[in-house]
Amino acid sequence: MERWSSNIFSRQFITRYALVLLSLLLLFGTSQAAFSNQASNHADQKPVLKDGTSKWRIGYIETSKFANYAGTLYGIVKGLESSGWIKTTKGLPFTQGSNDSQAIWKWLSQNATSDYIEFNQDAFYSISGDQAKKDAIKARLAKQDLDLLIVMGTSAGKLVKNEKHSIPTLVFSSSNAKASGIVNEIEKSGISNVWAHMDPNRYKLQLRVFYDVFKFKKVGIVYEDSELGRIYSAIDDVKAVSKEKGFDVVEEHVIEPVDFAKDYEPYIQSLIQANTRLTKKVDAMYLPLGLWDSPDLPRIIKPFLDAKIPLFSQLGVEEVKMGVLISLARPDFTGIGTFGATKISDVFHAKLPGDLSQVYGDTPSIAINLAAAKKIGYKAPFDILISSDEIYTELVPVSGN
Amino acid sequence: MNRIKISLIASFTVLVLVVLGFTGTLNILSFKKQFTESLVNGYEVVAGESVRKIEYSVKYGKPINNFYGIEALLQQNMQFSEDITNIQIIATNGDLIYNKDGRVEGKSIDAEYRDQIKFTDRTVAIQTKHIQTGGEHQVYLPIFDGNGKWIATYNLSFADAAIQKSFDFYANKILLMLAICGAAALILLIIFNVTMNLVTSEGEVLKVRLLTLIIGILSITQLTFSIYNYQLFKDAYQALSNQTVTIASSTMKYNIDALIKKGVPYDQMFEIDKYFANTAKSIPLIDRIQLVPKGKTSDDAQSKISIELPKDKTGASFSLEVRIDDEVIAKQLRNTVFDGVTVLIISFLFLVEITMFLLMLLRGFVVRAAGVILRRLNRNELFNGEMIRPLTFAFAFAIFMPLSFIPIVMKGKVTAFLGLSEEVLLALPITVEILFAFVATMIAGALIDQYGWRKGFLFGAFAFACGSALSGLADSSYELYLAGRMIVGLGYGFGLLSLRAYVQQTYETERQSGGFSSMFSGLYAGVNGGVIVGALLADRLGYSFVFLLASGIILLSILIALIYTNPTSIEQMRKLDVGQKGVSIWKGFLLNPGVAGFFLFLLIPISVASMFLDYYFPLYAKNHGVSSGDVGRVFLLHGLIVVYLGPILLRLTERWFSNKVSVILSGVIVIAGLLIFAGINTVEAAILAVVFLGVSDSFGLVAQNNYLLRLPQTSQIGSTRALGYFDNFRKFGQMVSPMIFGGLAFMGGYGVGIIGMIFVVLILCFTVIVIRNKEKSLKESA
Repeated sequence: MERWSSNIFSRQFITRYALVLLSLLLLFGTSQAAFSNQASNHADQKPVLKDGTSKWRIGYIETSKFANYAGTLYGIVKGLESSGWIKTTKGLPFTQGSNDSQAIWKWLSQNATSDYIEFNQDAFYSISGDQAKKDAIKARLAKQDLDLLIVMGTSAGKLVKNEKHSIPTLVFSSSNAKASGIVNEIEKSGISNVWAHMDPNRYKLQLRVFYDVFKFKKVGIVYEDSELGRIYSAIDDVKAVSKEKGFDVVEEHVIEPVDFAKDYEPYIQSLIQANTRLTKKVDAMYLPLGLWDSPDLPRIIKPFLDAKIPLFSQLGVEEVKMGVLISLARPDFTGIGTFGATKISDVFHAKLPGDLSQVYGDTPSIAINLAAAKKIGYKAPFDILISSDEIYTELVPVSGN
Repeated sequence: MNRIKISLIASFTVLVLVVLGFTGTLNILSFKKQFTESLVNGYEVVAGESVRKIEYSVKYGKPINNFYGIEALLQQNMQFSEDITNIQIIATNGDLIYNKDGRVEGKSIDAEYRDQIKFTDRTVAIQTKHIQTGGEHQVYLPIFDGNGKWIATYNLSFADAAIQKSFDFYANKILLMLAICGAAALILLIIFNVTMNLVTSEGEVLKVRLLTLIIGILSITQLTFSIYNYQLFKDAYQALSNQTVTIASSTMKYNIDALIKKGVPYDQMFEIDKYFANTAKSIPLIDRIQLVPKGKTSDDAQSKISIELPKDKTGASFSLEVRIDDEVIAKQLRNTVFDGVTVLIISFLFLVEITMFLLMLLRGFVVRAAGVILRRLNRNELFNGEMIRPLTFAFAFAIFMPLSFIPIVMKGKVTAFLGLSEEVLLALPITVEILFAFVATMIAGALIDQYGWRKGFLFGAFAFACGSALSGLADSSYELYLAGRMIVGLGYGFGLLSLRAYVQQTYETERQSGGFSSMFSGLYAGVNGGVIVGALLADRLGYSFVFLLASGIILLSILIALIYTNPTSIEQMRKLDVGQKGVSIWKGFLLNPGVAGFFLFLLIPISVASMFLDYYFPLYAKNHGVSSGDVGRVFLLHGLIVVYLGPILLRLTERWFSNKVSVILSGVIVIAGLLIFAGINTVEAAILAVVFLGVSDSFGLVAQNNYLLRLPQTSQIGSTRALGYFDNFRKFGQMVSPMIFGGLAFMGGYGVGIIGMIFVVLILCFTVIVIRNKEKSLKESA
């Protein structure tokens, strides 16, 4: 009953539309309706044998022991299971937060898990700054007896990329594979046998959200002032967002351990000292990836909790659980694992790594620690609580206290 | 019981069936429309709560196209009702991102809906769209990011069967009440028929007595039925309101429960009041939401729903108290009363028209039954031209049924045609319709003068029936629809001019004013009834049905014309004012100072001013927060004044004033309305201006008509042709009017004041011309 008429001779609507028509005819020429019909383009993921007879031989190289590496490897294995390359992963030794990739590899090599892929125990390498291991990797690459390499971390990625070999190489868990020179471009690597996972916006997104919630003026960050250190800590992204949002970045530098047995504790102490110094200079803190063991995190972040400074974890839920206030990061390794398994499958179907797309944005989840919030006097608003996927209400006590 | 009494009972039965059938249909449709809206509100609340949660998450960094936990959220929504068939998140370009089963790749929504669900960035007004497609209802809500930018659309689908299932309960009650009211009315009419004399012994129907009796009883019946309907809707609305608030409460409880399970105590749910306030703001039914310590619910009179929440880890426990905004419910019920009154008025209009028509038929029957039929008494003489009113009513009713949706029928169906844009293509059908009506009016005058009004009318009505049927059968064929509207325009032009000619060719000159008055009454009753009934039917049964029904109704008008009217006889044709051969239209008519003065200084200004109602008032009212329903009721008020006040005012003005004075008076009243509005500039003043316009139209339309017909120049070119020019000059005035009102709209009331002042000058010019012509004719006669 919205439109009525009162005068049959007027046909006011006709008049109105006639006028509209005249105007439109004058204003517009022609226009075409556009129809989008997005078509998905999935590669054939059916498992195949190498040359129809033998299994594919995979090697694994990681920078060091790290929860992200073990998690990503676990995710990839689960992805390969979903697509039929691996029969079963029942009994695979992995729990969330574990950094023991070797245990996963060992299990894979000892159990007849696949009719298509061979996981040799001698094809597992964890560098951990050990030159001998680096040499062993170089020698292995020269032999060209592997069909695909799964490489974890920037340091390992650079090592493998710089060696002369033609083994298809897939690099994961590198903070910025382009900045570190592992690949030439973001979308596709530009190097025929190398591929690296890229998620160019994840750290920028973290910083933007952190700023939008706390509106800080100065954010602190502690990292090793080296090429790798800058990449791990995503310092370029931090600075880019600081320009965009108008806050200052206050830096403190530490030296990361090379010989863990000797350098580790001094590294932790230098971190704590740097953090303590920062508490007097900043009103928020961005905690980048570091080489600390999880149980040491509470004492590393204690200065910020005492100084009531909000702390954001680059890593994610694992550190929030330990007492970091908030994070926005991938909740598990399912997404990246499936993505990585698809790329392995593509390579086994004769695609060059350099031709494969590299960009995948991990699905971020929100994690918050309310005990940390209470400690620093932050009243987390209700809307952030109902948006959070993980909420922790306790602080892990500082070891030794 | 004699044959006359039996024939009266048969007539009453038909009347009760037709009138209450009409009233019942209208009421059920109106009830269902409001019922559906209320039920849809409940689903909108489910959707709204989810959207709010998604927006919070997006604000805290979750990308909409890579949203962690969306599957669980959508599945949770699906749990609210088994009638929900799907939930989707749609990108702004129409690509599907998620559905109830999770991520969707490579699929888009139909192009038909893509344009319908385009939203703007966040505005104060709540943007929600409800589309019914086949057996499903679709609710669309925009999702905004933290900066208020529209980033995606939330779509919830539920089966129409869900509405039907709930509605059937009420529909059965309405039908039962309708049957009771109908039986009661019929019994009363039969009792009066038996106990009272409704026909004289000479076979003369006592028209006033019978009319009063029928309209009185049926009006009371309709009123009783409407009151019952209102009570029923009140109960239904209150139940649905409670359901909506309960859904909202359950959603909030779900969110709080989830936090308690994660170990969050109540004392750490900071700013929960802000969350409650945002929720309350988006659901008009909710006044306030708060947490109340368990066992301490307030006992004030305000309606509320209280839900117990679980204990947190500290042992604290609360209840969620959702207070209902009783004023919103009262306002909705007030609107329901207004809608009920509107439906009642439309039913009354229908009742009066149908009763008058039946009485005419009854009179013919009684005359024959009484055996006093005169030899050679033809139908025209029997009905004395009175058929003009039902004929015009049926014609206008059919023609105006699809008016509210002509431009939107092809929305989403037409994409590219002759290289024109969609906007142009949607406006084109109505434009070609008016163009063909215009052309038809130009050529129909001479043909009607030559072949008589009835042939013209039959041709026009038949063309309309074909065109309307073609529009209804066009489905998604734009070309067929366009062709249909062209033929409708042709039929409209011919039919309309023929009805005017009917009055001219059938009524004696001295009775023509009454004939035109009857025509306008039938016309306005038909227009108001047609538009409302058409809109209501289209809502439930679709556009095609209404187009086809309009064809059917126009066929009824053809039957009325064929059975109850006679073609103009040769004797009458000879008497007709068909004009003189060889007279130039320009020299002999249009350039004559009297004719040109009438068109330029009176008719066009009044036509421009008449668009105050059609063009200016809806915009002005909308800007001042008046609902479209209330705007419609103001249109109805204008129609009622013309239909029921018109005949009385016409008799009085004809008795007191000459035709010239009546014409000038009609203009003065219009101008007075505009100036009053300009001076006060309020919605009330705008309504007053509409009343003035109605009063002016009520006698002015006939007076202007008669004025032109009585000009000596009219007889030179033929009266029907002259009336064709009359119509086209009116149309011209109405076409330029939006530009004039629109151009001065930025000045508000002052703009209308300027228009009023210009018209004062023009009317004065016309008055001078009239006085000079009178002096001239006095001199000539002297």
